Amino acid sequence: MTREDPFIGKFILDTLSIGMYNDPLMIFREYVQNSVDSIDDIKMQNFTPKIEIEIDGFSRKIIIRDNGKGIKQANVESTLLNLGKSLKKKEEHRGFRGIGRLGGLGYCKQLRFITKAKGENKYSVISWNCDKLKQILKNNNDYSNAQTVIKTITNHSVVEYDGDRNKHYFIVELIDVQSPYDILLDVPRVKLYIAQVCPVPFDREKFIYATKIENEIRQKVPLYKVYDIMVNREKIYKLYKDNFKVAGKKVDYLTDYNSEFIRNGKGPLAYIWIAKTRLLGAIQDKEGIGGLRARSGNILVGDNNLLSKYFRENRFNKYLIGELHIIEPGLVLNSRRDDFEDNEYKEEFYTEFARNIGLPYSRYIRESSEKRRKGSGFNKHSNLVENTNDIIKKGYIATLQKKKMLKELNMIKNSKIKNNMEEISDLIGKLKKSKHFLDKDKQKNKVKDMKLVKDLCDIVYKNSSAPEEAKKIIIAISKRVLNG
Amino acid sequence: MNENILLVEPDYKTKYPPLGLMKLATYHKVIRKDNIKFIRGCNKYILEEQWDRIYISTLFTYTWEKTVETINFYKKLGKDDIFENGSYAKKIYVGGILATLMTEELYNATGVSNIVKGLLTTPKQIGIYDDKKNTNIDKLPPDYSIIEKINAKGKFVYTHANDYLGYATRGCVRRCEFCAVWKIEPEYIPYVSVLDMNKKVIRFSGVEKQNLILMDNNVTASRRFDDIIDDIKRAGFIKGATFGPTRRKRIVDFNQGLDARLLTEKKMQRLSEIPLEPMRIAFDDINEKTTYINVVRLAHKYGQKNMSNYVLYNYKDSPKDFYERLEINIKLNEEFKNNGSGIKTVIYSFPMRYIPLNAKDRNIDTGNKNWNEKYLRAIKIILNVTKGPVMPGPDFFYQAFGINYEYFKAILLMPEEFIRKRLIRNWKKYNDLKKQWTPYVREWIETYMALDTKEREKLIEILKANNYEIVEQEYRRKQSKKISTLLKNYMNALDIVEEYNK
Repeated sequence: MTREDPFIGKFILDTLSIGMYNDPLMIFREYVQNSVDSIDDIKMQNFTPKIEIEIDGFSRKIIIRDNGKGIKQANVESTLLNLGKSLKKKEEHRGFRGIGRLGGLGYCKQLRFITKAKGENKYSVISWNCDKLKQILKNNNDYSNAQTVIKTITNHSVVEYDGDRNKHYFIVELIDVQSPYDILLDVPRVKLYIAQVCPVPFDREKFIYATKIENEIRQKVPLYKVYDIMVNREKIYKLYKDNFKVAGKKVDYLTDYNSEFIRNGKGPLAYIWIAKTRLLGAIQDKEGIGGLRARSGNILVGDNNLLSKYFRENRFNKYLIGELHIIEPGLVLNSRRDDFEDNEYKEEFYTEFARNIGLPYSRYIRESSEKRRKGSGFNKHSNLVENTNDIIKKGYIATLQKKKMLKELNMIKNSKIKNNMEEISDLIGKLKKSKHFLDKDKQKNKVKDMKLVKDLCDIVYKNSSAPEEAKKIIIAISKRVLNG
Repeated sequence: MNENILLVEPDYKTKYPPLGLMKLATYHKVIRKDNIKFIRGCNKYILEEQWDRIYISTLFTYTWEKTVETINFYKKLGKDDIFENGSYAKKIYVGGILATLMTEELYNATGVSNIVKGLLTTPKQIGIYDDKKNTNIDKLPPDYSIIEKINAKGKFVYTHANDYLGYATRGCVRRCEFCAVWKIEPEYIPYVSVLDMNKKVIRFSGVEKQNLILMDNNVTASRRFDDIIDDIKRAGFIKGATFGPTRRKRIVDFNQGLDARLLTEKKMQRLSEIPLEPMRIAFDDINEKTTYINVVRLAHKYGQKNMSNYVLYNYKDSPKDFYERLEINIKLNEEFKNNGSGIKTVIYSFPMRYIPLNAKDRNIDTGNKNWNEKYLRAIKIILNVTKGPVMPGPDFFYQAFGINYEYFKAILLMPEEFIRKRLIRNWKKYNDLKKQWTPYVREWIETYMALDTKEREKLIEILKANNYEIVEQEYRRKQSKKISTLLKNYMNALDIVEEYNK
């Protein structure tokens, strides 16, 4: 018996482009992922990878450009016009299904891929006529198969290249961009999206643990890499920072972080770092750092809520800051990249995550909030103001005390809480000018070697574990010195 | 079709009502029959309604932060989570000075690309293509009712809510580097009918206004200057004119100033026919000294009483010539007082700090090495007493700015606390300036005056950044005895002042 070839109709194109993604911004993830894979294919030394995104709302155009390997002219059609046939390997590449590049089809009138490989003196332009695609899809009398449609709506041209033959690149152009709410042209939103989703570095200027965490992930997670991604000439960083706003306009800050592996019986499935904070409340959405977030190949999986269901209450995840990096190759992403494919690893992973992270952290969060409710916790902020005023009035007892206080005040100042900025700045100014308590009016000149006594105060303060105790000792010493 | 139109002014400080939004209010209310609402700043309850268009005005570039914050607030429909969709970006229209000068940066910071550059002369600029008359929105009369509501609430009050606000010309013939006018209004239009505009306002709002504020950038350059003066007079603004039953005095104010270089005697004479109050002439450049003095004397000759003259600093000038320019005004005041003419011409100087056209905040290094952080801050503190102007009398001036340039510099270098509290309580009793000073100020100035040139340079070097940490470090190093004393004063300024004022 001879069997017919199965017919693959035109609508498969709709499903694989627009139908794949529930958020238009995801096309940036898909194109960046392709760029990153193509950059990783370059095994050269002294190579500076570049991914540049240009968004122009005035001419409604988006360009995504990388200096990755590019595609050899002979392979252009087979690579860019075939579907679901990727030459990429699961183990080395982030994408492997060969459909991501269609993401732009639904959001512009013309989609163009321009690419050149090293050593060739020509570059290729593949353009997709998206308007024509829509017409064909709409036309109920058109029963074309997918292959015919692709042939009809695409065009391939080869152009002479006068520049440096050794150049290599891949450019995606979306022309006449159309998206709901114009979201794809909303530069700050795109920046926020890329900062949270794409494999960009931590910001060392804003995040004190940037280097430490980055080095640690590099050691523990084999496929971890970061890339310079520019949006309208601005370099994008992850949003993690030292202090941040939580619900109720309160400010919380990082004091350190914990890290560990999530394991099954055989080995590590993932590596996770979680910030140590005071767990004061759910982190405000606009900070863009709330919630433990899973990343695979340093690209976000799903959104900030993927892991939320494995806490006692979903909202508890929003109290936390941290990243979970997938290590186990068996944890394969589904084609929408919003979760993992169903297999035994997935189940093990979520079970272990809930056991080791979700549930214990749910308990910490509840306990700490109960503590605060009962009033055993103290309002550090008002306490700080009180202590500062005390120092301004009576003088500080040790240089370190003043320094610490200044550091805390500056943290609050830099966090830009609007309401009492003036007060904080004023306090900082006054605190800077405050004196050692031994230099305050009456005590002056009573002691011969004032410097020695001050040094002594510093030593006591520095080496004591409780500042209150230190204060008692310092006052006792000074009384003795002054009276004797 | 009735659309819901929201007009937003970011809540920066301003005396002048948002003319652009007021004209848009007229356009949408009268011509398109839409529903309009005007609001200042961010109001989350506003987002509970559905808006078809949101217009946001912009002012100076140093209001950058507030402006971007406001646009982003109205853009996101109250949602913060990036993973949730929805945005008003498409429906937002931005215009005004900042939007014109920093279009691309504003787009990058907000994602809003409906940005009107320069004047709004056709509805096509705001994506309206069905207006068959192609209304020139810039020429519509402003709708005062929208600001009356704000003023009535009293939370924010526009000083000039009850004045005619308009133009007799547009643009400027000059291309000064420090000025944005030629970028926003590149074409110089020598005549716009003030009379027509006022009539429209009366017809539209039903009431006459008391004063006439003309925001011309260079009316002096107009070849139709005579027609403009005639228009103003015909509109009811003749010298001595009064308004309403209480016979309040009517005034005309060209609030952007007049160009001294173009003010001929003929023009001055014509200006004297209208109740110009004050007359504003810029004194930005010491090289224009002769021209400036001649024009001010001319104004005096033609009976001008109040003058309020802009004095630009931190541009290409130095503190020295800034002092000189201020002093020239003081000397002119004395001259007018004593020349027996009986015309009481009084000049107030308005120092204006130069801020580059693309500066996102006021504190920015302009690269002028003659000025520094410390000087600029000190000027601000000195002027803070009067909230801006330099008083016309010599007593105030020599008191506040020193009897000569060296004293001026000594004052600028004093600790802030000293500048603020430099006078003893009953200072008015004494004629001798030095006796009016508090002891610590006297000591500071005396010590400073005793420094040699090298020491003075050294001191400026230490203080110029206005940074306490640097001063503290330098104090710990080996310094000459006098510098050491001054630095010690600097670090203990707060205590010294508090101690004295106990």
